[in-house]
Amino acid sequence: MKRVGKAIVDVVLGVREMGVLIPLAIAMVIFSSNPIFMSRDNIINILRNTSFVFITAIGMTYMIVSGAFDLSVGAVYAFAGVMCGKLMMEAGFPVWLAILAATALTGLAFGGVNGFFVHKVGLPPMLATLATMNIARGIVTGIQQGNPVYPLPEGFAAIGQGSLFKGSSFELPFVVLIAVSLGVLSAWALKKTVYGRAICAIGGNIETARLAGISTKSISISVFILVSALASFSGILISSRLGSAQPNVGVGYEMQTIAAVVIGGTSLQGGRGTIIGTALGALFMTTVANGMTLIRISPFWQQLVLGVVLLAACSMDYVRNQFRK
Amino acid sequence: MNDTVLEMNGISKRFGGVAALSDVSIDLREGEILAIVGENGAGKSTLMKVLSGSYPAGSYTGTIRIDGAEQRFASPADSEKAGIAMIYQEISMHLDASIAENIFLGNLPNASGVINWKTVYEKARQYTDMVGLNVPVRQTLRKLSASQQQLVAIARALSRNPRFLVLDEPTSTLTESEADVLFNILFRLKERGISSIYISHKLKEVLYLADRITILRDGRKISTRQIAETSIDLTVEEMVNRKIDEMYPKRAVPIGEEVFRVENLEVVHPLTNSKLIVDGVGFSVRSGEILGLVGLVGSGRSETVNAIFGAIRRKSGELFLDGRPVRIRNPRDAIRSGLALLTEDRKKDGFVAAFNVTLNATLARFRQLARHSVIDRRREESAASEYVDKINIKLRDLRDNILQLSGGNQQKVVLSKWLMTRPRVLFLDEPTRGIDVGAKAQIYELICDLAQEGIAVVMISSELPELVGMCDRFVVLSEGKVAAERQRGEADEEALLRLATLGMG
Repeated sequence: MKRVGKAIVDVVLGVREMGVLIPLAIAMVIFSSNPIFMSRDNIINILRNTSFVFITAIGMTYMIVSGAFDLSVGAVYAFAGVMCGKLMMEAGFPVWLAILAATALTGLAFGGVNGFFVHKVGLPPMLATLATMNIARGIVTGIQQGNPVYPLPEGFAAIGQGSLFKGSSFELPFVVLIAVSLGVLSAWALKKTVYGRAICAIGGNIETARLAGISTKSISISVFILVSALASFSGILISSRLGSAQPNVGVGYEMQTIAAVVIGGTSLQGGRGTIIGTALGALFMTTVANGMTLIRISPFWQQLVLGVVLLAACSMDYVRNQFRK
Repeated sequence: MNDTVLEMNGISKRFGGVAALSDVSIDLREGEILAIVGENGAGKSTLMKVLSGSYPAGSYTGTIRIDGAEQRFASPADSEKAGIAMIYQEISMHLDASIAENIFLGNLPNASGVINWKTVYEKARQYTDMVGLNVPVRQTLRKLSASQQQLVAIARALSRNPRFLVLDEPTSTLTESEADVLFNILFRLKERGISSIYISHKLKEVLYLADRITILRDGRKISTRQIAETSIDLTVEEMVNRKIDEMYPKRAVPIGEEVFRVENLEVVHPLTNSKLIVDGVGFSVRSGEILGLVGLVGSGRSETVNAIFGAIRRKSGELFLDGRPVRIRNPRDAIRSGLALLTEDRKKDGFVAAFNVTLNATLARFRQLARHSVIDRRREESAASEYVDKINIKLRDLRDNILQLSGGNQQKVVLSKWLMTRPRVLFLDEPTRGIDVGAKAQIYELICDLAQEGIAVVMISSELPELVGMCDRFVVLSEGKVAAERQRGEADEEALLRLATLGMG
């Protein structure tokens, strides 16, 4: 009981990932000027949209903690959705097998290529993943010539659109349930497993980690595969939600996920970060996007806000690190 | 006696709770060479950073005066304007820029923004001639040896036409003849009325060069003496304030069987592929023995231990553990075979700055401390606290960030990390670099304890007294080769230094 109490105090006081709560509260007050914002349906909508960002942002948290970046997640997100759709509609795969195959294959392929070029060839992550972002997007738009895969099987749509206790005040979309489960599992793994510790050590000081006997290259490559697999899975969920697999979905998604991680207090210097912070960061990003639409800020201006938020969050991180020294 | 031109009065500087300088005063006269000596951590570099404005006015107490006028430097640019030029131990220069560009960095001769390269090269040549560097000034710095780079740094300082020159261990990478050139430059500058502050541990150099010596210890000034009034023995005594024999707690330990042997080790030079930095090195070490690897910077001593540990690539070499060949391709293999390596630069690759004490101490062991890959925090903390007690690490809490500790305690945490792997062979590369005298003595004590437990220790140090005081046997490296081997008692500092510089057995 005492330990639980201390944990709560630790979380509320002086914990960097809680920094986002204040801007989140301010945003909510502003958006409440439109009564629809606080309605049950809108809240469920926000939570659902948060999940699509959060699932990939989990992988991105691991990635940034390990000291790298992945810009290709948005393109991989679209790629996997289309691949899954084609496996179901053209290759006749059952839904579950298509999801599994598209997640695993896309994750392995793009994560593997990213990891190979960053850790075997030695390219900077920014450059390698910028290239694969264009490659993935190029393949998927090329094959589809810009057209979505449509229609998709009915059972498939239920995953992204359906809910537990539908219609009741405890309505819980399946997508949210999946995101929360993945969040809990990954938070535990980052803090409590040997794998998570190794990732923190690599991001904190890769040379010290290597000299301590940690297989820095294979673990770093595995993180690239993990983030690609999570982006793939999230992309499949969004295609299920939309009822069609769009080759041009997820443009700017990499910035949303990176922003969620950084706003959530994960250090850009590597070595430390939390999943709960990332969850709050994703919630913040989604809430702002949703609220801006509700208070009639033109979508053409919304990207500006995203940019400013990202800049502010990154600057905060640097100021904090200076302060530490 | 010449006039006093520069004074630092009652300088005190604190870092958090630690006093790095307490009420230190020095004065520099016109055309004088003042040596400042002291152990690592005595406060020499801090004092010079105060003088250079690296620690701006306001971050310390006390005053700096030039020609009697108080100076408040907000940055190194200010002190440079006042005529102070610094030559640091670790020089920051652009390896891919030319010698000329480095000399005039930030100060290129130009006519309204257009650089006149002809003038640049001509003027640069004047300065390289002055320091005796016979290399074309368009050469990039990367192609030069460490000592040649040091000469470029000196040329750069001279190009500023300084009134005051501050040199911090300028000869650490220089050969003897290069050092002589530097001394002659300083003598010539002195005749022109330029004053120098010369920081060094090399007392012979200091006694040859300086007019007066100021000794610092633990952030305080101990004395300032005319050269004629002092001697090496007196200076050393004032620096360490204890008789040298007492400093090293060397014990007679029964030396056992050979534990580890390396033969024909070769490592390619990091800067030029055509050269070997380690060229056919071989040695062995026994249980309970402390072996000293003696050599100057660039002799290949660090590369030798890093290559054995699998941290850098070997070109060739056979390793034996208990007489049987052992395969070590990377640090992981090395740890598994019972090797441990305390690296030279703990900030660079010794600890993880984002981690607390426990996480750093268990870094090489956390996989074994976990159960089925799940971390057991309590088990980790009890393992860490065992070593904190055993080797007397001072901290408030095991969850303190490692950066909150002093250098000596940080080093002990890094050492705990390696001791936790229960090594049979422990390689120590500069184990006492940058830590204060008290912590040094504790580390020596600990090394002796480990030898007594039967660990085979291989130790590298730039401080020869340390090696002479601690080791049972010495392997002297020179230009990547084993130049000689000596038993304890067969060689003193001077003899070892001669072997290391001359490369003759």
